[in-house]
Amino acid sequence: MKFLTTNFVKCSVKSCDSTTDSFPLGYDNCKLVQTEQEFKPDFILSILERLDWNALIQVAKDLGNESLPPVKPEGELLQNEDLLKDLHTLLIETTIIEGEMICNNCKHVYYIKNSIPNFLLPPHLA
Amino acid sequence: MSRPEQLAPPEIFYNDTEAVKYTSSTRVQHIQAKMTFRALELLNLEPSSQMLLDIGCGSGLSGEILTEEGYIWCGMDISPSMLATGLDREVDGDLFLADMGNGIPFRPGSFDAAISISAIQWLCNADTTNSDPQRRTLRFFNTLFASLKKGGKFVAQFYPMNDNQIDQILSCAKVAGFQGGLVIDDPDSKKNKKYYLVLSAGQSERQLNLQGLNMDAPMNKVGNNKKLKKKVESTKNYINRKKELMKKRGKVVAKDSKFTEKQLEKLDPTFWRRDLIKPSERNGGSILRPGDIVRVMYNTRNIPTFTGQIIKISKKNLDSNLLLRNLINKVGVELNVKLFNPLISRIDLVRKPNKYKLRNRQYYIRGNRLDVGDLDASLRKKK
Repeated sequence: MKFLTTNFVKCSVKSCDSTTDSFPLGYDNCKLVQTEQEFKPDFILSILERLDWNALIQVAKDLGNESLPPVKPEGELLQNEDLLKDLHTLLIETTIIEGEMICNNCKHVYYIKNSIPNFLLPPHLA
Repeated sequence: MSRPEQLAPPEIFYNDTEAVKYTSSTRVQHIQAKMTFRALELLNLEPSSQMLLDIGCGSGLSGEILTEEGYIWCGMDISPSMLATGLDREVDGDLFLADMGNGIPFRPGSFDAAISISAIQWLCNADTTNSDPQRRTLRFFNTLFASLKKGGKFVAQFYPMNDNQIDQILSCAKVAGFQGGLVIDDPDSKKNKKYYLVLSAGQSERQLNLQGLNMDAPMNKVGNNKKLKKKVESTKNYINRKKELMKKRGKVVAKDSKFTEKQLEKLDPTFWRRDLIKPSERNGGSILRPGDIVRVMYNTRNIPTFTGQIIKISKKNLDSNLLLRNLINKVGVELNVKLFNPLISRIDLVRKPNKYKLRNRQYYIRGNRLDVGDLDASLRKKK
C-alpha cells in the first residue's frame, strides 16, 4: 500500500462513519519499502490540493518520519522541484508491506500483508 | 451463459485455480480490455493525473489499462486468490482485500472517478444467512458516493440476471444521491449485449460522454399477437404496407385509389346506406347489429324482396355487406347483400330481438336450436 493511500483509507465499520476518529487510522509495526516510480509533477500538484495535511503528518509520525513541514506547502513553494521530488518519494515510492492499522474509534485492527490491507470485516461488524 | 454468482460466493468461487484460469485466458483478457476502454470512454476523464478506484479489480486486468492511460488507481476485491495473482503480475495500483457490500473504506473526496468491470452483480446475491442484498447495495452506493469527490463519476459494467436486479441497483444508486442511468451496448445481440451503469455524483465540468446514445424509452414490442397488431395498425396502413412489400417483390399492384369517397358519394348521396352501419348524428348512433331482422327491397321486379336475420356484417367501405339468413320451406337460405348495390332501393329494419346473441359473426346458430325460424310466417303472426 502506498503511503499516499494512507491519506484516504478510513475504518469501514458502519458505526464509525459518523465520527471523525476513524480517519486517519493509527499505524503500528509497519515495514516500509522504497520502490522506484516514474516522477509525475502534475500528479503531485493535483493530489496535493486534496491531501489532508494534518492526517499526513500524523501518519508520518506513526511511521517514524517527523521531517514534514507543519503547514501544507503552497504558492511559490510548489515551483521548487526538490520539494515535489521529496513528496514523490514519500507519497508514491514509499509502500507499506506489513503492518497493522487501528481504528481510533472502534479499535478494530486491520492487518496489512504482502502490501495488501485486509478490510474484510468479521460478521459481527459487517 | 454461465453465471458464477449462482455457484458460490466470490471469495470461494475465485480460488487459486480459477484466478489463474481467469487471468490467463486471452478471451477474458480481450473482453475485459474492451469493456474497460468503453467504460473509460463513458467516463470522459481529463487525461492522466487522476485518482481512480477500481471496484472488483480482481487480478488487475482492468487496472493495467488504467496504468497505461496514466491514472493512479486503487483496486479492491474480495477474493484473496485474485489479488495474489495480481501481486504476481506486479500491477501498479494499490490493492485492497475488501467486500464492497461492507462499504468503501475511503474518506470523503478521495477519488476523481470509480470504475467497475463485471462486479456489481455480485451485490444482488445473498451468500450468507445474515446478508441482505438490498442493504449491502445501499451501503455500497452510499459509501461510494461519499468517497467520490463532488462531480465524481462512476461507470460500472455488470451482468444483471433479470430486470429486477437492474431496478434494484438503479433505485439504490438513486437513493444514495447519484444521477444517471443505464447504457446498453449492442442491445439486439444476445451474446454481446453489455450493460453499463453510468452515474455521476453531482454536476461536473466534464460531462459524461454519452455521444451516439439515444435516450428513448424502449418501444413497446407488439410481438406475434395478431389482435394487438391489428389494434396498433390501421387497415389502411396494413394495406399500404402489404402493397409496398409486394411491389418490392416485383408483383403488379393495384394503384392506390383516391376515389373511394367520391364513389360512396355517387352511390349513396343521401347517406342512408352509410347510416345503416356507421353511427352518426342522423341515425342517433343506432346501427344494424347481427341478430336484427331486415327486409331488402330492390328497384327491379326480377329480384324478389328478401327478409332475413343478419348473422354477419362486414364493414369495408364500398364492399360492405350483410349476410342474411332465413328458413324458407324448411330449408336454410342465406343471402349476401352488398350494401352499396345500386339495385337495392331500400333496407328496412323489421324487428330487433329481445336479447342479442353473442359474437359479431353468428355462424354458430346454423342447424341447431338457435337457428332462425320461418321469419315470414312469424312476422305475419305478429301482425
